[in-house]
Amino acid sequence: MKNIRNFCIIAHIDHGKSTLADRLLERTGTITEREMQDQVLDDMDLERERGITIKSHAIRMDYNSRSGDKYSLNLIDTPGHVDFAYEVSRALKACEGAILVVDASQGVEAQTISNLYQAIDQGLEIIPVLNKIDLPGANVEEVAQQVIDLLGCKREDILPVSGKTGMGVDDLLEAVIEKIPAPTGDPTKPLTALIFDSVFNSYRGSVVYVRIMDGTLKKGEKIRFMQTDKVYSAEEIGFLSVKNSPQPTLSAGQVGYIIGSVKTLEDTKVGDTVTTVTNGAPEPIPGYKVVKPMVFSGIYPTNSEDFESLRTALEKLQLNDAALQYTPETSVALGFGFRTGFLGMLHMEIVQERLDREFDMDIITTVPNVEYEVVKVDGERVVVDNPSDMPPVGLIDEIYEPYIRAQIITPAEYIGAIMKLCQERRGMFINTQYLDTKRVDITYEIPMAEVVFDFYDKLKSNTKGYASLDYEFIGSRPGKMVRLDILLNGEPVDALSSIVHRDKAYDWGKKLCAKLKDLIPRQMYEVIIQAAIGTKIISRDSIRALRKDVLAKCYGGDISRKRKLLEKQKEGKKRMKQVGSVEIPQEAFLAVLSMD
Amino acid sequence: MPISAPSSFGIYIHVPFCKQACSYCDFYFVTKTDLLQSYIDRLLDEIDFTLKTFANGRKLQTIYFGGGTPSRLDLFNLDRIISRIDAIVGLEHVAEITFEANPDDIQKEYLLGLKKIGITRLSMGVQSFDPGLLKFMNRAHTSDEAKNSIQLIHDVGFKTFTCDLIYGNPNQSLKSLKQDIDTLLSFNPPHVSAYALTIEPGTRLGKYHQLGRLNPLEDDMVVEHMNTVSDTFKEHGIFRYEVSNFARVGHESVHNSNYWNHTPYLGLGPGAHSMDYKTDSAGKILGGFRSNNAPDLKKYCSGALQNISEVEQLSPEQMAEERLLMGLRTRDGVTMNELRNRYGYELNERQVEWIKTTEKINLNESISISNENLAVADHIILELISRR
Repeated sequence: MKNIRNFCIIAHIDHGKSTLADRLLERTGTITEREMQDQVLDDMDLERERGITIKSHAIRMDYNSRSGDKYSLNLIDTPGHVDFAYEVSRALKACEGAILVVDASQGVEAQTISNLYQAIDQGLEIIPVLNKIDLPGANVEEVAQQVIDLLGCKREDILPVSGKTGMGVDDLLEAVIEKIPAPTGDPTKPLTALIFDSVFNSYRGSVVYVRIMDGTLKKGEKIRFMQTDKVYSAEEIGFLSVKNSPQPTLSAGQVGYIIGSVKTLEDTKVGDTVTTVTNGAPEPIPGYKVVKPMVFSGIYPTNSEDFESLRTALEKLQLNDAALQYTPETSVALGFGFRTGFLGMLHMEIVQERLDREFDMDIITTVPNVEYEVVKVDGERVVVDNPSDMPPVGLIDEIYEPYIRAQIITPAEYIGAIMKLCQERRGMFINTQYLDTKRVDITYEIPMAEVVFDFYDKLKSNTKGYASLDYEFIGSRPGKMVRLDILLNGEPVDALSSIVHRDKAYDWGKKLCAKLKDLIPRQMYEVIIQAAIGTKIISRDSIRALRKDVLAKCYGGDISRKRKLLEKQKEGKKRMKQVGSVEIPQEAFLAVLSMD
Repeated sequence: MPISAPSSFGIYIHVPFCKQACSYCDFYFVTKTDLLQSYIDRLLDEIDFTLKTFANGRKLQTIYFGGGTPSRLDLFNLDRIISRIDAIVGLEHVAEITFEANPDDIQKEYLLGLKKIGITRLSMGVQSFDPGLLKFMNRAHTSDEAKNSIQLIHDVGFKTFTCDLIYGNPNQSLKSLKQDIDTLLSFNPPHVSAYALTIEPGTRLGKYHQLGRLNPLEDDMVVEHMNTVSDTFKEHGIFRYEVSNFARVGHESVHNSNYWNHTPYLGLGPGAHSMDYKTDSAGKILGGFRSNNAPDLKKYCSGALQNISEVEQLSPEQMAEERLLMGLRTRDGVTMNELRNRYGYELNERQVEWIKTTEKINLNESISISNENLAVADHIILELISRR
């Protein structure tokens, strides 16, 4: 056990975590350069494209130290987005140390700090690293000072590296074995293994990634997932290398995988504890949390005949994305679909893209919203995650909406812009703290609903991309929310309803009407767009009737082109939804997201 | 327009040579003439290779020389082309030979020659009489040349002729359009093709538009232009029989009408399109095709016999939709009988219901779009066709 090191890498998106991980794999000979696809750890297409790690993974490296000893290094990768904060906390729990990667040109960011504090709280040994020191824009000394201020470390503790060229990587590996303590744990105690990740394999079922805290697991033993209380047998166990490497036992301190014909990820939740059925542990590892969706949206098949295919696709997605939740719902405008719950906006986008890419589903997504708790005048409390379910105004006593504590780290010059943005989003100022002379940590409490929309994009665009955001859910508070309905030629379109704060409803309604005016194509008659709260119309716009749509020339060579265009338009029309007499294109249902 | 007998067909000959590039034009053309002789040789070869097979015993009804600028051809070569066609399928049943010409190419001798060779219908590329607009369009001719050329057509005495007009130009006033129409009317044309300016990608105007240096006329104004064109010609006995075509009774273009009623045609020359189909003994269409030669003069002249760049097979349903999309642009529309008997196409309940509720399509023995709704004909056609 003394020659094992379990560690992770903490970094902000784009600070080069994955590239650095690739170098570690190369230097330890875990993977040859020839086998190296860039960023091996991010194995989903989407992950590679977006340059972010969505799910955590782990890999074992064999390392011969300069002093000639053999070590097993387990690198546990962590997701780099706030939507997946809980998964990060579980990955940290499986480690004794963390490499803190800071981009020498970008400096410390909110995500880094929040993950770092978690790591420190959990008692991890931190190895600070300045990455991308070879880039022309690197501010090595300035950023080093930020790291010193943050960690209270010495300048010489900070290792300069370049994930791109591999410079400094050997020193880093030495630092990992020198500074990070070997895991502790007792192989003779009852088994406790922490699940820090699980992925679904269509042939093997759920593959569970664990860190053995205490005890020893033997191949073939009956195991129990303590939170879900499910029993399986550990058919195959082993280390995580580039390919799985089966082993007869996994014991305290080690990191590995368990395969046991588990048919659903539901049974193998991240944070759960695996123990043996005989001589099992009396208590699970503390800190387990049920991950709850924070953002909800309707997902509908564009073609109503695809409802069952959509259900199948969601079922399959859920197999390897336990955080995804869905229940059937119906909309007058869109027909049959699903109310779907996500961890956050990124998670929502990922699910949408996976439905498109992996399942070829053509879907319409409605405006996302958070979950409200409505107290009715008769004292009944209802949970509303769909604007259509909002009780009539007269029956509502009070509405509670979820709040987050947002931590924003920004260069000082953008404080004004950020405070303005947070204020606009009904944020309550809590604190600012200078990290150094140039960078500020701003804390606000903001209704989650205000962050769900383009908050992050706005934050980025208002700060030339420099500000970073982290947040945590802090409970519900009363909010004066109303349901804003949209009517087209007098007919309400339920899928366009949204829940907004009363003070913002007028402005919101006006902008939404204007946006819809842009998105809905001209029809042969005028289309009146209205925004309403209850029966009260608060905004109105109109789309003028189509005046001209005819090809000038239609001769021998034009016909083919014209027919193809017509066929394409016919397909396009299939993707529109007819509400009353008005045809609405898919994008219109997400109009709110692209409002200025 | 009667439906032409299925036993007839037409020929389209693409002449891809132009003096200069008109700013709006996206037809295939070249401005060099070095391959002209080679083109003639290849065209004669193509006639030899394809015409007899295509004709397959059917009667040749129309020939259309389009471009490019057919008037870049000399009379000798033109005569060789027509004679070659005559030698293979005969010209006895030919009702119309149209020849597109630009005013700057027109002299009396040339016109006399064209008439002698057998051209029955001159199509003059006037576009406008306004010097400013002619410059904007980068036309090679002047306003006076346009007027002279039309006068010459009268003098030489062609059976019929047509002039092209382009309206709805950026900044074009209604007054300027009316002047163009009046000037044209002073020559008493039996036929006019009047087109709303279309800014095509890949043309000079397309590029200007992309660069934001061109403000197309507002749709409302274009429609006003369109109505002015249609109303004024009507007052002078020149009636709209297709979105962009106007004629005195009996002067409608046979060749173009044949495009719209699915008479087969053989396209010759680079970029030319062909269409043909098969029917059962009762005349019901079993399937059709459209093909085109590659729009590539060099390739054409290289002598590669297989220069067809694309062949599209068409199902009877696709053919029916084509017939609707073309027929609904015409005054006569399409009869239910034809749809049923020739294409096996019946309007379904949704379509009939839509026609009745929107009242944009006249529905009797035939379906058609009234003059006032032709400005949105494409939209109406899409609405109708997509309800299946």
